[in-house]
Amino acid sequence: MNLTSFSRFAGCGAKLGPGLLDEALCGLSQREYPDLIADFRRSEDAGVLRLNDEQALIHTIDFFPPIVDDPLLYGRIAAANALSDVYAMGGKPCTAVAVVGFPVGALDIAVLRRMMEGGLAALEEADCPLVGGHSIDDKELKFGYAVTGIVHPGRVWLNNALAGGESIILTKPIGTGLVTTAARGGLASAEALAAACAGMGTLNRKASEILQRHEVHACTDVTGFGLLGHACEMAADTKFNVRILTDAVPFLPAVRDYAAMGLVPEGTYRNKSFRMRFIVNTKHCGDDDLNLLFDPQTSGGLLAAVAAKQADAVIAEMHEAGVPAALVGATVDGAGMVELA
Amino acid sequence: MKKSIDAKGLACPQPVILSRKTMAAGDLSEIEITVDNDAARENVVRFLKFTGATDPRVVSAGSVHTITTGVTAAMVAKAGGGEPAPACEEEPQTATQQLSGKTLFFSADQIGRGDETLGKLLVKGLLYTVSELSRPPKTLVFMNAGVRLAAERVETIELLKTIEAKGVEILVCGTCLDYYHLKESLGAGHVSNLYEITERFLSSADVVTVA
Repeated sequence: MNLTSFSRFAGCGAKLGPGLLDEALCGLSQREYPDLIADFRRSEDAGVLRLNDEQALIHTIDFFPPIVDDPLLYGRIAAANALSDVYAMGGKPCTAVAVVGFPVGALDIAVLRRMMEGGLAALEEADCPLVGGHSIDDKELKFGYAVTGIVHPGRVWLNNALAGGESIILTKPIGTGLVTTAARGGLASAEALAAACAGMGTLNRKASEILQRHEVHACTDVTGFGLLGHACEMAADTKFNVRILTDAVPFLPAVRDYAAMGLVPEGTYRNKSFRMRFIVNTKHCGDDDLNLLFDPQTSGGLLAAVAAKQADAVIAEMHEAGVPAALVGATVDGAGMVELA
Repeated sequence: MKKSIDAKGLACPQPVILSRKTMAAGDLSEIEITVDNDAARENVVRFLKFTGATDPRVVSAGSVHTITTGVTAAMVAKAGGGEPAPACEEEPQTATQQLSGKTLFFSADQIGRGDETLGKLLVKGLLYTVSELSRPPKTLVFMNAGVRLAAERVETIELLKTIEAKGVEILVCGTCLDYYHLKESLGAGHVSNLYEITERFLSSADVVTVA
């Protein structure tokens, strides 16, 4: 069974490009709500509403076409990906509802059952009950979750609340877009595919919980806009630049080969055309490297700006917990740009 | 001989895959690929350069791009004709293919008729071997006394957990678990029904009755 053949897209490649989304949302506003901490006007991972002095509600949704052929794994990745927005805000997931578009007739309903099982296993790992869902008959298979979470209103991690003097930590290797594109062409090596699937199916829970014990200034999860796209969001409207040490960024196996062969997802080109103007010294790395750094991720890792003096401890704790975290950059005085070094 | 590919309307990575197939099939001196978006153009040019093309020509009319280059024997080889290309030394696999194939069926908690101790040792040995395989089967199905392997015997439960962690589906007959009062102690796999089990039997490339 080829689940991925039930979609035109490679996973997050189905996401509307950042340019298009800006066009649709630019200038759109709603009245002020005093307890609103983050809404759609900020490019946050999730919306946040203050409930009381101790608690704020996090609310997010994410769904996408199949990125792998195994329904169990697809369900798991969809859940890990949706939960990730809560973890990226520093919160703890509370409830999830499933969102399903299913090609009735074209696919056996047992496939949906397997997707739900895969998702449920990941939700259980997150201690997050599934409380319902909504499904429609849809030519193209889609699956995901809306998730709520809770966070202390004073400890919400915004994308770009930089204060300077931070180290930038990334908690999963980059390259799921390239590997899944190669897999669609039957060209992915078993090793690369296994590493990508393992990464996409891993919750960002441990990474988030370790970060919650330290001084985090800003955090996001790396998804459709690629590492540099999300780094741009972190630097945006701040007095700092986010400097990315390109040699320090961990990549999945074989992704350089896939980029060289032209197995680059369409989303990479969209990301580049929208964000290149926010990148200084792009000449520092070649076009192939840029295609890796802008590769759209599905269920990617957290990208966190932590107080520099705590970076080593954070990384050590993550490695101890089995999280393949890497120190990939730092903040420097600047003007809201991303520097490659 | 020149070969032409119309890859208009195709999403990534299909234009590259088609170019690769055509080139790898050999028997051509020139290749021409037509695409209708910028990402496909960049990817096809990138692929042609990867095979060794020095300067692919791109002719654009609006959003339609036609990419042409001469093809040498070395390029055919690099594209996967004759010798495999570097990125595809391993057999191309997708997530399903990797787990494709067989279903193993266990209807007893021992292999074969004869000495019971030997039969139980054999089944444990077999599960150990399965847990070590680099290409494991797709599904294991347990029915009748076979459910004991997933719900009663500690050492086989551990092996089944290892097997399950590799992505193998483990189906354990719910009716049988009820019958033996073992539902509470299921240690690996998930409770299944005859509908699901029948579906697996019919959709598997092969069903092998092990015990």
